[in-house]
Amino acid sequence: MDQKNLDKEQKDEYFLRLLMGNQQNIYAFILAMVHNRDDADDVLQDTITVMWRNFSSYQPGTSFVAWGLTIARNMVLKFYEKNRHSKLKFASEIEEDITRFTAKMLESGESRIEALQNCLKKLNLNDLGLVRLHYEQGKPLKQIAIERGIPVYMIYRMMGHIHKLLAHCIRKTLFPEGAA
Amino acid sequence: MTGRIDYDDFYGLILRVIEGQISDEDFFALEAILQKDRCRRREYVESVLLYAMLHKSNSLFDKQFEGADLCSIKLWEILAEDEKNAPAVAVPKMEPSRPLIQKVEYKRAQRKFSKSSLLTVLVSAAALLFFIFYAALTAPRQQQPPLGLITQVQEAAAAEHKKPLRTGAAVYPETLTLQKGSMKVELDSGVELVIASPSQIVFETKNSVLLNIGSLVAAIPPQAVSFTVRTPLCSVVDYGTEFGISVDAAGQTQVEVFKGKVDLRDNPNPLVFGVSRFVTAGQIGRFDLSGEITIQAAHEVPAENKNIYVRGLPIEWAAKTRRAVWNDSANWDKGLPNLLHAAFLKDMKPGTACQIDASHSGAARAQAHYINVGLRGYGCLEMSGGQLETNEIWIGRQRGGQGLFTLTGGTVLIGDELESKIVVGGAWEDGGGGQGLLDIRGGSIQFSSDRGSVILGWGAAAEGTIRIESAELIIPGQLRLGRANDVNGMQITEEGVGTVYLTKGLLRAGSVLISRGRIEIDSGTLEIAGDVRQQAQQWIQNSQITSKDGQNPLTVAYDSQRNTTVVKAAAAVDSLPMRQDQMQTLPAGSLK
Repeated sequence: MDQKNLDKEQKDEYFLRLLMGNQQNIYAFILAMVHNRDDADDVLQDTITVMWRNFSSYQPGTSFVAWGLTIARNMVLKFYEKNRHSKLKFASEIEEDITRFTAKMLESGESRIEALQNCLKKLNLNDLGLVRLHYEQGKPLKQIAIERGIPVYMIYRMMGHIHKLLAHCIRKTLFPEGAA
Repeated sequence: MTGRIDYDDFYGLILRVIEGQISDEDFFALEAILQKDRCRRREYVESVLLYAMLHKSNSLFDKQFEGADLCSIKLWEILAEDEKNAPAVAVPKMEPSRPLIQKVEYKRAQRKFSKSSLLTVLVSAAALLFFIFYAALTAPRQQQPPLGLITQVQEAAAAEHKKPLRTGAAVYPETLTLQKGSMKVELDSGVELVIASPSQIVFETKNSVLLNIGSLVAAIPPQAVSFTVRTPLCSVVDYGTEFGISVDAAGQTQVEVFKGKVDLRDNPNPLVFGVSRFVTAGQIGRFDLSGEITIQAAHEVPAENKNIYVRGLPIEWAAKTRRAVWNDSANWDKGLPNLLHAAFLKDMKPGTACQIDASHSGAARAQAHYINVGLRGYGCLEMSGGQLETNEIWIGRQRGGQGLFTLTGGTVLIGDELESKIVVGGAWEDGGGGQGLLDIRGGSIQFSSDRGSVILGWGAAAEGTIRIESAELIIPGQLRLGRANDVNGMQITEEGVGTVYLTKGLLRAGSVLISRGRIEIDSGTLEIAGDVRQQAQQWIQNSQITSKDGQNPLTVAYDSQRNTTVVKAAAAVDSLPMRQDQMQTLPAGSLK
């Protein structure tokens, strides 16, 4: 598809369609870089704005997500530059590994989502209930803990346990022979 | 956070980082883990991607998940197990008066203070300290009479108490967040409560408690009828009974009545309610988020949806002598175990044994809710006669555990209150498994449930062995060799290893699954329900069923009358328990 032949409305639609299919990967990359959900939301917003402004530089037929990640990486650097005194940041060698692992893992694309869908089915209904309460209904874990009068760390430990199960299951699904 | 961090804590820490619920100290603890171990960096990224997918994907939770509960009773059960088994988990110290998890405090520019303002701060601090100490010394708790006593503890620790809870301590109108272990409390009304961690309970009066989360078992004497357990969403009023109750993080409540009956009401205030239902002995009542009360017969509830209640604290073997008998209460730390208590034979001195002999018969039979022979340390049970009644036996259950159960006589009765199984060699944590040996040279093991099963090598690095010599082992359900540590039905680690040595004996199973391990037949007979000759041949070809030293050829036959596949070493043909004309023999090796 040649962007030059598209009118504004078609161009909007084309961009949105590409974005919808890849936004989650871009967000995942940003989150892995900035570690914090709220910060990741801000950086994602800035990234999308820049992507839209520079959409004409995107070459149709090439990887939209790779193009988006390049912009996202720059936005993350800007974010750290802007907040260099106030944000907790891992040591650089850890950050490098995180960047590399993230880029590699994102290559699995849709299959990771499919694996997650299957792994969610393997959770017992009760664990799944807690996952839905938090992620689907958006109820903060802290709020669940406070409402029930249990320590916050305990609810994070519970959800951490479920994350561990899901992460192991996804890995086993994607790499049944143990390769990573 | 200091000390060792287990996997649940690790993943929990990552979540807290992402959600901004982390202190600087915890962030640096996480960084230290990532610094030390590159594998954890990969896991960190996996977890972040997982979070992003869950957080941003709208299509993950489609209609197929609509039946899901909005929280977790089972989760608490799993956590309780996790709490029991976790090795020295570093748990953040809890101080209920302030939030445990704090937002990250970003560095701010330092301010300069004048001497006078510093003095003001010091004076204010001193005044504040005075008031804090005054408040502590005159706390209302000490002015209120106690409601009861802690009568037993099992490694119990509560967030509100710096020291572990101890037997004999008074219970006041107070909140107890039981983080570890379990405890038994006797209230002045005569009510006995067995509370398992993790739980949070508020002792309100001698006739009422509020269970915010977790589980307890209540035994109520006649004089305390109308004792009430309140939960965040409903209440349970007793009518003279014994019942178990569990509350999950969303407030959903499940009550199982063992004796008598209770009234399950749809309001935390038992005096103001709309709907109430009686739950009687043998039934499970459930109050869910939709506000509905459902009642089911306990035996109809699938095992995975059923909470397992700790009806009595585990009782540990305490004898130091070389040989000591089960039914001498002096040999246990809290008196003789019965069907309400788990019996732990752990940390025994090598060379010592707990013995069950012919004197353990009838009313004097040995009993336990379930038995751990060698939990982490060494444990040894020798049975030469009498009867042992229990619901599960674990031999060498955890990392570093070595369990030995030698059966030369008597009868072991495995009931079905739990999952009716024997596990030999288990592993419930990362980084190691237990070793177990079940040595059967006489006597018998009887399962009361037709799903009674035996699992050898459950969890990575676990090793389970059964040796049968001139004896029989009849398993109505499955014999499984090698199983992953598949909590929640997920295979998260590799399988353990199971081995069976069969010599002049009979091993019969409803089904056999060999994932990792083998069965070595000397002159004994292996019988498997159904016609599984092809599978048996496959196992033989894969050396998963072998003869001793590979000398005697194995034969596989099918007894159509009994619908049973028979595998045996050739030398044992004469001792077949069936007529030759009933058999359809398939020579070993015919399946190529």
